[in-house]
Amino acid sequence: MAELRSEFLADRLTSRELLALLFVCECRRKKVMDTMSFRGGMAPPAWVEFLDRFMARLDKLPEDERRYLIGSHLQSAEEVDIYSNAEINRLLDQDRELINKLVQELARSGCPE
Amino acid sequence: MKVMFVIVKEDYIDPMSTELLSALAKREGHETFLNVLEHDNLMEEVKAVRPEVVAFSAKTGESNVMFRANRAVKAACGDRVFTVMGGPHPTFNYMRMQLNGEKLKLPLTFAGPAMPRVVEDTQLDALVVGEGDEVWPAMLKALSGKESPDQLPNVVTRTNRRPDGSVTLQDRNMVLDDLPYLDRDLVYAKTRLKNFGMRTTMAGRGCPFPCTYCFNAKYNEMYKGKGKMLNRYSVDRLLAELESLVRHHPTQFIKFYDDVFVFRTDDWLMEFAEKYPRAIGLPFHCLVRCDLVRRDPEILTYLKKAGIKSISMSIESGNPFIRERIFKRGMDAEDIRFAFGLCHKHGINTFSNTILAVPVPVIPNPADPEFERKADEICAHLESYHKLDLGKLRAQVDLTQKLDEAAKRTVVEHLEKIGLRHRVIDYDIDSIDVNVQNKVVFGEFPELHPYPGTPATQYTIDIGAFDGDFERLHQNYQTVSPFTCFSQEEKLEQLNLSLLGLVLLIFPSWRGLVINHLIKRRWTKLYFVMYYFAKAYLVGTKMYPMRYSFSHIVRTIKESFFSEILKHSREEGEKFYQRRKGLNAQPSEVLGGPWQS
Repeated sequence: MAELRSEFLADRLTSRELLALLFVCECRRKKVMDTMSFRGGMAPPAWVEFLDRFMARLDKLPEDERRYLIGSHLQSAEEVDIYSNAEINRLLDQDRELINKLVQELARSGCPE
Repeated sequence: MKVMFVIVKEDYIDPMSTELLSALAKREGHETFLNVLEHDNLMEEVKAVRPEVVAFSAKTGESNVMFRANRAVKAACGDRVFTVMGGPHPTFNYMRMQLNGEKLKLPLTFAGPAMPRVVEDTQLDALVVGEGDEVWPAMLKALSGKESPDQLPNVVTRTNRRPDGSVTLQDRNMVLDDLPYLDRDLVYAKTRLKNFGMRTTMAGRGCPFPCTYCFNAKYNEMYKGKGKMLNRYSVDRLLAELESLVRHHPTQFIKFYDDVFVFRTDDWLMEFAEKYPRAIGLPFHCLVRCDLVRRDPEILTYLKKAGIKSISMSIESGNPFIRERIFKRGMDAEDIRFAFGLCHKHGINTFSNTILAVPVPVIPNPADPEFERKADEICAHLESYHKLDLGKLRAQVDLTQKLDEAAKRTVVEHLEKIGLRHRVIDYDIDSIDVNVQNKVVFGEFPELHPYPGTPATQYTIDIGAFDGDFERLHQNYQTVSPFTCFSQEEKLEQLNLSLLGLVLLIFPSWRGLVINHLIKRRWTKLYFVMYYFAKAYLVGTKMYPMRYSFSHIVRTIKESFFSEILKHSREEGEKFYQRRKGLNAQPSEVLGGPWQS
């Protein structure tokens, strides 16, 4: 591993971006990506349920702790090596449009950052 | 080469790191031996075996006993024996461990103002930092070829120590299947584990969660970018080793000792649930997290299918402020309620660890003439250290002014809502209550002890509750609190509650009696006996039920009772180690006390 600490992409992502990435990884794992649509302004039920599970414990935490906790879930339940830039880039590229949309939704709903 | 491993004492848990290092050494053609300081004469065995390498694996609290042992070995054998120490203590403390006369550059691991500049004079030849199993065979190869191990990663010697204190770490081992089976024969040949029916093993390595009392947060920081954090054996490889274990040693129960055994329902868990009952078929115990169970309840379905008997899910604190702000557990009361409720539905017996005696500010008494100043100090601490937003409260009351009764009530209610309590013991009562409410079957209630490298330790140093002198710690965390912020009366209540908490899990209706009366009495020895029998009953019938002959049970009770006394009593522990043979150094004034006493 030639990466230096300051070069870790995961360290530069916000908690909103990490949370969106976590959701996408979970959907891919559960094979429900095809149900992810915000058409008609309606949020998909899986997203609502996901936020319900995570927001209660995240919104009280400062940003760095939020990022750490989401990173823990990415590394464990989703088996993502968050300190591999190649892996993070691949995941972000794969669903960039959806992740951007989810980040917007988080900002709109007042999710802290 | 002949390699002698030294451990302080045997418990009922396999010393898996020693067993793995022995297996790795044997695979390279070396001979291995074990010395257990608890009952073996170290110097006699060194004289008889004449090892070329003596290896210590040290946790903080028992490290000084090992320094003493090492000093004895070096005094007798000099450079004929190469001595090395690995494990958690050197991993997080190597910067202030002097090997033999070299000058160390301080300050060291902690930046806290109260950090003493204590250097541990170890007289070891080398330290191994981090995961040692990767570098261990290479180190033995170098030594057997009369070469220096200085070029190896993870190794610190007096000649390769860097001025900035840094150490090059090898990448994490991500292919566990290539490791040899644990060398249990080494340990079973000399210890009571031979006839103990519960065998401990691990399915993998790593924990990504930031719990501040645990070494993993710091460890993960050290290994950032050095490979995937979570690595585990394939199911087939894991079961093959267990089959071999069961075939060669009497086994009734398997304890998976991973920090977190499973994180989600995945192919690995489904395969394990399918194959384990057929391949092994013994009841087992493992550890998981409440929030993971709530996120993925199917985890329990598959563990039940595999034959799980009991499960560990740590609560760590029933008080929300401690759990979230100090321990950073990342789980709420609903996660705990859901997970324990689901275990009860599945008929899985639950075990929970809960840490008492955590230094936390208490809400000042409104009748206190200095209420405003004290409240202001607490609020400032909450804002600066815990990054809490108290803007709403600040807008309602001005803590720099004298407050009327209504304003004081507003302050008190706000602090109560955050999770702060009026008395030190109230935090621990919260914790006991959550255990009782969730019908935890078996629980341990140790008191917080600060270990090197953990954020919780840094917190206790920052608030002035701990001076950073780790060598004063008892070898075990189930003893009186080391923090200076508690009065003697508070420490007595905490210690008593840590023993009576388990009794309350069996007799919840005793709560009033225990909380209001018993914890204030100096009857700790009686409570210890009550704790011991409650523990023996629950462990033997609910957690790890096994069948033994009557004589075995009597012997186990005798041994475990003595072992528990050593864990819980600093005085008894000191006497015990002062009686050990083969350690010709003067014992220090307290167990784990400064080397140069």
